[in-house]
Amino acid sequence: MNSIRLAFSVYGQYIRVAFASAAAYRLDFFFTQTVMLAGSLLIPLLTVLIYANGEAIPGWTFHEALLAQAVFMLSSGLCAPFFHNVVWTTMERVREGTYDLLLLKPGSAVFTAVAGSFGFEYIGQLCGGAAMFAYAAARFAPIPAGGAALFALLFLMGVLLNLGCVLMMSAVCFKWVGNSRVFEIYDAVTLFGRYPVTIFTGALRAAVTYVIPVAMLGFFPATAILGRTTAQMAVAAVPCVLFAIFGYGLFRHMIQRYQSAGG
Amino acid sequence: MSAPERRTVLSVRRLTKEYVTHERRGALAATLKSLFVRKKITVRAVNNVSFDVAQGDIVGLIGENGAGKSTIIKILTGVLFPTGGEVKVLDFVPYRDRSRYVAHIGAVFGQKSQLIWDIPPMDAFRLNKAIYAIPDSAYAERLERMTALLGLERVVGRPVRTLSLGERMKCEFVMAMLHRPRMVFLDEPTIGVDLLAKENIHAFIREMNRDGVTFILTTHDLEDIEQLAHRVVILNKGEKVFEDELAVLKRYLGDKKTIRVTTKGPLPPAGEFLRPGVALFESVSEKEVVLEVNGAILPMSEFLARLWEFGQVQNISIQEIGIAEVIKAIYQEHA
Amino acid sequence: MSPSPNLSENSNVETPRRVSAGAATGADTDANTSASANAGAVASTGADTSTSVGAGVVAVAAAGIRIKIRVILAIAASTYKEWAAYRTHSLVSVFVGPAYFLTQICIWRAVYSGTDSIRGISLDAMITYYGVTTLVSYLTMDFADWNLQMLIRTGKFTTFVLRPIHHRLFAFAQKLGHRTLGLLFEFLPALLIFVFIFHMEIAPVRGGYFLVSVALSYIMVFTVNYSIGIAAFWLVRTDGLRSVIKLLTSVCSGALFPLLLLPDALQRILFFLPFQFTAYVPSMVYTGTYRLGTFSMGIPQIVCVQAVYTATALVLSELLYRFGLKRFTAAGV
Repeated sequence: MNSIRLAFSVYGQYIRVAFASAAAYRLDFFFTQTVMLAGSLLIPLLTVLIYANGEAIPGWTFHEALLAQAVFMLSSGLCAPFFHNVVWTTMERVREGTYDLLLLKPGSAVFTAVAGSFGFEYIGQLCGGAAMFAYAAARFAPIPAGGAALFALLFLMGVLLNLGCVLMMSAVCFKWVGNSRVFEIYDAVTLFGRYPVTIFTGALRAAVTYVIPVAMLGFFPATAILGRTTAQMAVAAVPCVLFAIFGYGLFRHMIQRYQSAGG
Repeated sequence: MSAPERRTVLSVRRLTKEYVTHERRGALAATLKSLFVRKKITVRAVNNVSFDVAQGDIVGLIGENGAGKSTIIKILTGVLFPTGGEVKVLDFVPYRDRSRYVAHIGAVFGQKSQLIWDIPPMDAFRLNKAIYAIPDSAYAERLERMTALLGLERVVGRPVRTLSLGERMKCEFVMAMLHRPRMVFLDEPTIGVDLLAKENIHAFIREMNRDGVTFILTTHDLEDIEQLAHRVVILNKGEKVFEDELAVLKRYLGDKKTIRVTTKGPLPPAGEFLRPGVALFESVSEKEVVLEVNGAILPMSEFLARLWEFGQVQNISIQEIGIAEVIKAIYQEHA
Repeated sequence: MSPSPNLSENSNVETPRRVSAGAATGADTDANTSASANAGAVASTGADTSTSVGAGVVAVAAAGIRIKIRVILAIAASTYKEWAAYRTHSLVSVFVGPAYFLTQICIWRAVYSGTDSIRGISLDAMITYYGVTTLVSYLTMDFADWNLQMLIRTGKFTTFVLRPIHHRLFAFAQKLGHRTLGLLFEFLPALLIFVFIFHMEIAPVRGGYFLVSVALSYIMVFTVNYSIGIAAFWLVRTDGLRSVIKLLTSVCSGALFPLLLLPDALQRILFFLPFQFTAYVPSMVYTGTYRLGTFSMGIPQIVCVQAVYTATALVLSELLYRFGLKRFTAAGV
């Protein structure tokens, strides 16, 4: 219990430090965040245009399609400040040979890596996601308690998937030093999670549901709000948990390898 | 300086560390080939090194670049696994018990900052307070004492990027010692720091050492060693070539001293001075000469008595042989 | 920092990224700049000594141009070599572009299941549009903005003021080298995937005009980015400005969707802005018909318009550069 309290207070301090760092260049910070917020609103732009031109994604009303994308935005917006910088800081520390400093901190190295990488520079994206979600979900209020609970559960699965991916990419950074493009792979993969999975057919649909269940980042939790969940979503939760476990294990393994190889 | 009853807090036994690297070539064909077959090269950075450190000691690790100092420090701080041998620090095996062990040690790396560039050191200190779970009162008390000792009162509230190198380095010390570690590792802690700041840092280390903190110090700055170290371990190409008290190191080349003599009138021909045990080191002018006297052959008192007989002496200064000379000699012996 | 991964769906654009406030980024890019900078210095020194060889005025001018080309090729070649070390990174593009293309195919197939044409665009034309914009962006992208602002911010730009070659030409030569690498390790593999896996037909209606349009787009992307970099003469940090422009470009250039899908009024405005020339125009030239808002014209005409806009952008960029340089040297940064 005590160690959990300690972990929270450490995490809190890391967030404080991240905020102080971001606030050091206030003007640029606010400006960048505003742009980022606006930029995050681009995600549903294509959907808006499709419906504005009188067309539709088959089986989905405009607001349903928008909700799926809003959930995606909320999910990625939430994961960005908490997880994304793990990749960048790992890359930077490995390249500069300062990963040692992280290992000098007591406690779990994975925890220190994640807590120490809180990124305030993604706050705009989180705000954009939250705003869009509030707007899209309001259409379907009141959401029944069961639906909301199911939504929360599926949403959490998406977060686990995201965490797993980030830890895996960070692990890759120990080997593939200096590749600043690793996040583009992540973006390309999650791109398949931005739209209702019904647009995909055959193997591709199975892949985004069960192999790398990116559908969990937006579409599946959204269906919980719409009351249209199916059994396959429960199955898709399994790989999400596996991703998180595997990502954690791989990242830990790479830290240990770093310790034995000496960078 | 060395009380026999002090217990050993750090022991290194037959420590070996090998790195495996791959041969790299630039040409495209070679790069493609290297995707499949890579030639492994094993580099032995530390070879069969053993030494002990007693509680309250300040031990200097000396060696040229690539001698294995940094590798040893990394292993001692739990950052790196050794290839062979045993290490025990404060009853921990550093690399095995890392996450618990590091709560009891501190480290300052002259080349790797633990401060956070855009914000004041104070914020980074508070972060460490949380990480090491330092109680409020103890934190306040230690922070006040250390900032006072290092003269940092008006520094800790300013963003790190606005601080001078010396101020930053002093803050690194506070950062490394707020949790009151029993053992502190210093890797090039005064690199690039100006004279006054360096003196201040030396005084701080001595003060902390009086409190019982053990220091392991690697540096290229021999002034750090002469000012701080009680004992010295010298490494050469991964192997230990010397380990003893600093005083013993100073006498390593024998009981030799350099003596600068200035006279009122012209000096007699050199032969007058050069007898067994005395060597001419430098002839500065006709009224000034530097001699090297070996006390084992010609006792200093006897040499001085003879010098006095000459009667023309205006000034004498006696100096120990610099440890730089000694260390150079040790390297050459093992080359 | 560039928030680009989240900004644009079209994420096959390579952007140097700053990791955290304070620390400079992409050390590899930094290193590259300085290394090819040296190549440039060597090459341009050679230029000075041999200029006097020419006899007549024409001969001197011709020799001057020949030497300039030699300098450009030398810089391009050295940039190519530096980046070749990172060619495994290109594999990322070979994955990212086709993944993006695949999602677009799926979306539009689904949407077109209820209709034959959206705003006069058929399904095939829509898919071709995405294929072409994705492929063209491999050829035209650069980060001249990031590079120039980095040089100015770190003071390294001073070394260029002292050289007998305009920095823009230098940066352009770097782009030539960098994009040659892109052509070989990004464009060609992606093209093969598009043709053999997605069965995209490679048949520009008017091939010659298409190549000219891509070339003009290449220059336009560079000029716009370079001009944004110039802003660093005035601003301490250009991250914010750069992300605004990136955001505007991604919406207004047609890189994310055909501009014809936008409301008519917006289309009419966009016709007069330079954005469309970086993605929309080359793709339309490829398909053989051009229209935007109420404007509809032949392929030769729109390519001419593109040429005029590109030339204007170059002139404006040069003016901006001169003002900025005056400020740079006056402030003695």
